[in-house]
This record gives sequence, structure tokens and C-alpha cells, in this order.
Amino acid sequence: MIELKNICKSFDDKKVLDSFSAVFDEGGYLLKGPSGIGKTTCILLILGLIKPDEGELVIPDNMRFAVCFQENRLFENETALTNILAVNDNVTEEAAKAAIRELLPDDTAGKKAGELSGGMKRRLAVIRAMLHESDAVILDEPFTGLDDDSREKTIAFIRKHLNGRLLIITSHDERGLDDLKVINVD
Amino acid sequence: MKTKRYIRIAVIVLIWLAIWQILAVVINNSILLSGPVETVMALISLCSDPSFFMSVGATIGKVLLGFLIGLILGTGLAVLSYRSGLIKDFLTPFVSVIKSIPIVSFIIIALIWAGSSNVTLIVSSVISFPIFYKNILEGLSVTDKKMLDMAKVFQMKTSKKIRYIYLPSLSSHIKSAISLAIGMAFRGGITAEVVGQPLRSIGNGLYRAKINLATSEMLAWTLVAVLAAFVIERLISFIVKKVLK
Repeated sequence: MIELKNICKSFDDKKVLDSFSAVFDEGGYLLKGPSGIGKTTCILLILGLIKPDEGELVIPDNMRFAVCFQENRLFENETALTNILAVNDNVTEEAAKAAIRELLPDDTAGKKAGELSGGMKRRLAVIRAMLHESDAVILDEPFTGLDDDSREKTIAFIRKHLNGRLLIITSHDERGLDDLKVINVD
Repeated sequence: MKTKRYIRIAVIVLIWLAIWQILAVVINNSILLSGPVETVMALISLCSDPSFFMSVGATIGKVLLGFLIGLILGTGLAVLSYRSGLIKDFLTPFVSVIKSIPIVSFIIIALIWAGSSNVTLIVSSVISFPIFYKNILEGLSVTDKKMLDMAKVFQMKTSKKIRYIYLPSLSSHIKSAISLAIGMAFRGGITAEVVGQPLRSIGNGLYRAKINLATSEMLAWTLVAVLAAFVIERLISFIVKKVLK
């Protein structure tokens, strides 16, 4: 269980989170709110990449995360396949290729990430996160730049590869995510 | 396209050789300036003596070893400085002092401490060290923090972090450090040999040519030094390019 208790966080004197509290127990959660409201800040706090100014963050020791960052953070000069294998030691080449084929065209595995379109990079970042051995999966705006068909396939892919892990998605668009528990960030 | 470029380089080299020859003819004094033909003749004459190759080999070997020591020390200490601000602050004055001390001072100190046979090695390592230290530290400090955060979350192995995050970020810094350091190491190493006079070395050959007023021989030794530095630099750059690919 992850718990955020009265978290305050400011950047350059601009308060992004003001006494924000939330509990992520099990299942899926949708962090909802307009752009710039602090959803990504929440994610970065949970991942331990930034520290709160005030409040308490309760995260079990040794909790392992998989993440799809808002900016993808792929190895642009490496192939799609290498992007997955580089961070997933337990994933075989065949499994990675099969996962890529589920969401992307067949010849994508051998292409460099830098050569892919914005939407393809997004899906590659989702695949990389979903294949990672972890206790929780965090996807920050995973559907940005995807058309309706790709969005639907990506949601199906996420569900298929979730395997009972805790899921936290940030999105301002709820379509296809009705079963997730909504947490409003405001 | 490549052939055209090679032809252009060859023509430029020939023009410079012609300028050199014209100057030698105009000056008309082989002690002041020998022409390229005389220099090549002197080089051929040097090549007939087996000790010439031993001298060239010994200098290249010592400079390369010194360069490698500088590379390992510079890289190692740069990594430590990157990881610890305290170590970085501790090393900053040391590196600045090393960079600003005249090479001749190092040569004299090395001669007193380690004798003439080791002077090339010591001077070329002391010259290479700050170049690698500065470049590697700069490369490390501009490594994408967001990618490092990603690696932290995914618990990437150190070897993979080095391969996929640090090396691409360091690549251009490593290449420019190698290019700069190898040239400087050769120049400093041979200067040290001229001062320290170790037996069988390019510097010793240069010195002997100088006291005999054999300008063509001196230029032949210089040519060997330039060619050796050029070939070694190209060879190392080629290897580094393959490794960083």
C-alpha cells in the first residue's frame, strides 16, 4: 500500500501540491486532473525522484516500480528491442519481440527508438514498463499522441500484462478506464 | 567523393612540401634549414641502423604507457569526483596546479626523483591526466539526469547504465580528450627525452642531431615523432570509435 499524507510540494515558489492525500491499495487507480495540476509531481514523489516539502509518504521497503514517464525516456540511439532488454534482465529476446508485435508493426524491434514516431515511442515506453518485473506499474499519460484504435489496443495490452500488480495511471481522459478508482488531483 | 577528398589532401601536402623545398633553396644553408629531400635521405639513412627502430619503439612504448596511466588515473578520479563533492573540491586545486606547472619543471622533478629512463613515462602521464580528468568529469556532469532517474527506477545494472547512459554522454568528451592528450603526451614526452637524455629514444636522437648541427637528421627525427603521434592517435581513435559504437 502506498500512502501520501498531506503532501505539499512547490517549484520555484509555485505551490503544485497543497496538503494532498491519497491511498493506493491494490488494483488500478486513475490520477485525474487538468494539465499542470500536479499529477506528474505525485508520480515523481511516489517513485522517490523528488522529496515532499511537507507531509509524509508511506511506501513499503523494497517496493519495485515500473514506469512509463511522460517524456518516454528511451535510449534514442538504440533499437526498440534493446530499449526493452536494457532495463529488463528477466525478459527474453523472444518475449520482448512478441510484446512489441502486440502493439507495434512487425519490423519495429530492429528500428532505433529515435526513428519511431511520437505515438510509437509512447507505446514502446508502455511495453518497456509493462514487461518490467515489479510490484507496481506507474504510467504517466500513456495515451498521449495515440489515436483511438492504438489507445484501445494499449489499454488491452496493459490489462493483459498487469498480472495483479498495483496500477497507477495519470490521464485527463477516462475513456476505457472506467473500472479504475479515480483520485482527483486538485 | 572520398577519392576527391584524398586527392585534395595530397595536393595540399605537396604544396606545403614545395614551399618547404623553395625555402630551403632560398636560404641555401642546410644547417639553418634542410629541404624535404635531404630530410627523407637522412630518414632513410637512420632506418639503416637497427637502433633507430629501438629508439622509436622505446619512445612510443613509454609515451603510450604514460598516456594509459593518465587515462586510468584521470578517469578513475573523475568518477570519484563526480560521485563525491568532497573529493571533487579536494582534487580541484591539485588538478589546477598540475595544469599550470610548466612542463620543464615536471621534467626536472621527474629526473631528480626517477632518473632519465622513466622521465618520458612520468611526463606523458602527468600531461594526460588532467586532460582526461577534466573531460570525463565534464561529460559525467552533463549526463541526462532524467535518464539516470529512469535507470534508478528500473534498477538498471551498473554495467548497463555505463553502456547505455554514461558512454553515449561521454563519447564526444572521450574522443576529444584522447585526441588532445596523445598529441600533448608525445610532445611532452619527447621534450623530456631531449632534457633527460635517456638512451635509445627519439629525444636523444634529436639532441645528438642538434649538437652535430645535422639539421636534416633532426628534421627526420621530428618527422618520425609527428608520424608516430599521428598514427597512434588515429589507431586509438579507431579503437575507441569501435568500442563506443
